[in-house]
Amino acid sequence: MSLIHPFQSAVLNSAEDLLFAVVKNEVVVFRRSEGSEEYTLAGKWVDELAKDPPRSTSEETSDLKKSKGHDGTPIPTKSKGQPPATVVPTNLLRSMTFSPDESMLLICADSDKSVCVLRIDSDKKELNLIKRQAFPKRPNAIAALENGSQIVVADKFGDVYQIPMLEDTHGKVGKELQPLVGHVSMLTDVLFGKDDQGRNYLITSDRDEHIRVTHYPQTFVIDKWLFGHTEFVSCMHTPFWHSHWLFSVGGDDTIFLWDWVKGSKLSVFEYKDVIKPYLTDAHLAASRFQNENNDLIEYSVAKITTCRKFPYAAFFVEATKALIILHVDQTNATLSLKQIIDLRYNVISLSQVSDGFLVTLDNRESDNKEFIRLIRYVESRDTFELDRKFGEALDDAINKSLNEDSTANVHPADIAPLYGVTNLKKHDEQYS
Amino acid sequence: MKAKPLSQGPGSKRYAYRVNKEENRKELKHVRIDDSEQKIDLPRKRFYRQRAHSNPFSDHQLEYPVSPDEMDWSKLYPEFQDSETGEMKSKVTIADIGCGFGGLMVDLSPEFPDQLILGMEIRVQVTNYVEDKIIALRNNHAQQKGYQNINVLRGNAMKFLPNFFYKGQLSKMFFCFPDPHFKQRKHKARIITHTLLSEYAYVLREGGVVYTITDVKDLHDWMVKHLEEHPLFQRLSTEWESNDKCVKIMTHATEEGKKVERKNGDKFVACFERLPNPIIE
Repeated sequence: MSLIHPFQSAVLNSAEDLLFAVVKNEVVVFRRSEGSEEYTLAGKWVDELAKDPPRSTSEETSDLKKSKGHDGTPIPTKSKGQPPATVVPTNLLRSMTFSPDESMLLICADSDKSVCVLRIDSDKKELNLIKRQAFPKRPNAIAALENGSQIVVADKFGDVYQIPMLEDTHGKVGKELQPLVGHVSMLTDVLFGKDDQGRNYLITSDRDEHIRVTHYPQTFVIDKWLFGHTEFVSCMHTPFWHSHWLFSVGGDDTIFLWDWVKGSKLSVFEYKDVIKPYLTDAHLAASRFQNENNDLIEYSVAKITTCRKFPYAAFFVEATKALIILHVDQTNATLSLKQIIDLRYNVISLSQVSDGFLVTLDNRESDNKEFIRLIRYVESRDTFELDRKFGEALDDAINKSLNEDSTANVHPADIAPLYGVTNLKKHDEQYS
Repeated sequence: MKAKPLSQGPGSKRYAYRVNKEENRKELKHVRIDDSEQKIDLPRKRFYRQRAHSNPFSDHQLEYPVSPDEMDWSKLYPEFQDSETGEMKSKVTIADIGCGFGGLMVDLSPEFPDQLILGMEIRVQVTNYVEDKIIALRNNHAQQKGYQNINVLRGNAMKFLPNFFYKGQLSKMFFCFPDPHFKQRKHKARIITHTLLSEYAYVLREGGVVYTITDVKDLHDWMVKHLEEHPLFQRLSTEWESNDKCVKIMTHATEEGKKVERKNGDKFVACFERLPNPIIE
């Protein structure tokens, strides 16, 4: 029994004729043929370094238990020095972003802790790896400078490195290359900003509660911190229509809207009551952090983004079936609930399109349907609606082209972990 | 090798001592001490022993304000609060990062009577010791209102310094005998790194001074190298050092400094001035 792996993330270019998606350790590109609504596979790239984790836990351990039950032989204990039987699963490919001119795709590969630059060759319908740079610590987020010459990479250890997008830098990172900026905490997101005087800034967020604004390229001069979060920050976003504004989300019950140039908090949106009906047993805290009544729930916002054309922001809480859309009042800088889109499956990822939002779903129970859904703003009715045609066209294309794909087809037990954000939450004292 | 856990049992002398001191602390930590008849004994270090190292990357349960706006300094320096307006009459301008047993602060206190001095220490028991010492000193010098300008916080300065201090608030930062973290792969745990210096530069005013002292030559070279490479710091001359009273105090006052002296060890001093920001491109 096998199924096509759920899509961990997807992005659509601004012309909306190329869709890039991460399927397990593979990036696939679908192209819409001109004048039609059909999509066809236009290229793929597999991260060959990402090995299948050993088919783990449920089956093997139950086999072992059985063998012990039947003939009484003890389970062979692993000798010291061997890696543990269950490899900690990784996210495989994360933080997929376009270069500013959309000619390149940037992505972090967990397999060798590298950043990969893929060139999108529209004519030949190919996706080619043109650069792969390994880092000493796992990269978590990437941002590209406006002119496309440099990219910055934020890692798990709290450092931000800069490398040229194209030129070979092999081997220099970690030895000759000094970090631009460093937090003493895992970095979760990075982006560039520009003020009215045309000065550039680097904005970084971490697993403590910090958002830091640093001058660029003079990164030794810190401009400010944006204080307000009391839990980890998972994601930041600057809308196209207001480059001084910044949304930030994470482990708090609050969505923050900042003016990062002024350093002021503009508005917050409390989503606790809105999300309550969507929380399930999956949100119960892990047993080692659980309280006496076993009713401690933990959740967090995994991602926030905005429409390119309209003043709407959307976010989702990890492992829920709801996409929550906020209206952003641009005069008063306030946030209010616009609409909740109910989806059939849990949202795994979210990205922006000009008039709406693209989500990928944990469709493992669906019999290879509903991989990706597009939600558009319909001006005439002043409402967000599912673009059914788009969804169905993609389901078709995915089934046709990936049915035989050996990477994308997996046993249900081999599905990569899709929910890791809430794990960033801090718990008790480790050692004093 | 892991050190043997210290005896924490309820029967132990250490336990009884700590409980007693904790009650004392709760009662006296945040209050104004008026002239007191009763003298308090200074705390004894042997009851506060703790592993010498702490992992700066782990998630300690630390208390820190969400932002400098939220920090209530009146609890640490009650004598400096204007009793009518409730405003603080002074701000913290001197920080001792990793203050250990607090010897430096105690000696700096009378030298800078109008400035507030804060020690930050990551180890719980050591912080408790310094708190108890300050309580005792304040009590025993209540008449002349001594030692009201020093206090200590348990905190991780590598992570949360900007939560306490505004941009340019500090005029002096001390790094006295920091953990050397000898291993190559532990170098990021050192208190002076290229990237952390940018944070120290943020909280230091122009012309502010970073003081460093260590008995480990390798660490001294490391700190000097990183500070010299940083565009916002410039080394001060040995002549400046020899004329500065803080250098004198730092060299002789700290517990580590005294220990090194007893063992006839070397002491390496380096001081750096915070330069103005360049024109931002």
